[in-house]
Amino acid sequence: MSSLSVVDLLQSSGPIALNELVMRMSEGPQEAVTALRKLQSEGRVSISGPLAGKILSFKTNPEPNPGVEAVETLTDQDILGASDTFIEPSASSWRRSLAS
Amino acid sequence: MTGWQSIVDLDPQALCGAGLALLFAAITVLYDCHVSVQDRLKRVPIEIYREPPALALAFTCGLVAAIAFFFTDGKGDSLVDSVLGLKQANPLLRGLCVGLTVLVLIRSKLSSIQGAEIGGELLYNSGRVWVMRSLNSNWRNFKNKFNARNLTSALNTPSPNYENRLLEELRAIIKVQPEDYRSFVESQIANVLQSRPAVAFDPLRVEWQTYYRTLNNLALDYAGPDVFSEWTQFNLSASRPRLDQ
Repeated sequence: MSSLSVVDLLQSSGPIALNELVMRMSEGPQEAVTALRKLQSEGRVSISGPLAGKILSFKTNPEPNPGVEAVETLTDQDILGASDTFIEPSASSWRRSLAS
Repeated sequence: MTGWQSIVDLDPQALCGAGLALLFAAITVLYDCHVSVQDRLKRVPIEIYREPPALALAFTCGLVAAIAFFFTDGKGDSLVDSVLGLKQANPLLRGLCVGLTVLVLIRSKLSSIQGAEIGGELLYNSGRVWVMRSLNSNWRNFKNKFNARNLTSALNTPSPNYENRLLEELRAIIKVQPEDYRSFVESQIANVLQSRPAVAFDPLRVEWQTYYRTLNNLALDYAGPDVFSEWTQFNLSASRPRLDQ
């Protein structure tokens, strides 16, 4: 299955709920959130809603570290039920797209 | 100072020229916004001239054109005069030229340094980002309201009959679009179909409601509200013309 550009998808659909975005992407829920986290850290997408903070601190395969509080995790269930967390292109992503 | 003298003297021809500069600059900006939006939200029914952020951006650029007009006199003595006014002696023609060309000045390479936007280009692009984000927000609200009104009716048609018909109509509408656009939509359709709930169809289950909502939004994004025009059980009253209804 061909891989979709998340930013292209977001620019053609407008803000979209996390669970809907995951359903429209070829990646699974965990991979999709990893991709979103990377895009967010690059300033290309904005995430708003209850899971926004969790996505920011989301880590794949967190290594156990007894002295540190466990990293917040997102289960597939959390992600596929996230109809109130919205993803949209960031202002800088729009600016780049409109300038080209 | 030619410009300020013209304003103070309230020369009627100059005022008409400034009005034309404002009008044509505003039309040019609205058209530019319309092209930007349609390039991305292809099937979203947007009347750009009714969107407040687009009107504000158009009016601001129009105002810049009107002010720039007062700094032209048709002799081509200054940069503004020769670039924007095209050395037109007739104030009305000059106003039209200034209106149509002011975006060139605002967006010229004069207002960027080593690829970084500054001045007019930065402001203009920020304005367009504001317009895009506002339209996107309105589009999201429209889709939410559409689903609030129609999801129950949609769920009255069991799967797979519902998605078969909806996807058939979606494909019929996008068949005139370029190949890469259709492939882009087809990839998403395949992904959504793969996410079809494994449990038996039950309209009361959240998985099925999410699946139907995702299908509806996919169809709205790429085929527009027209994709539902033949569905008599749906309430399409606010499909047009305003997104924010």
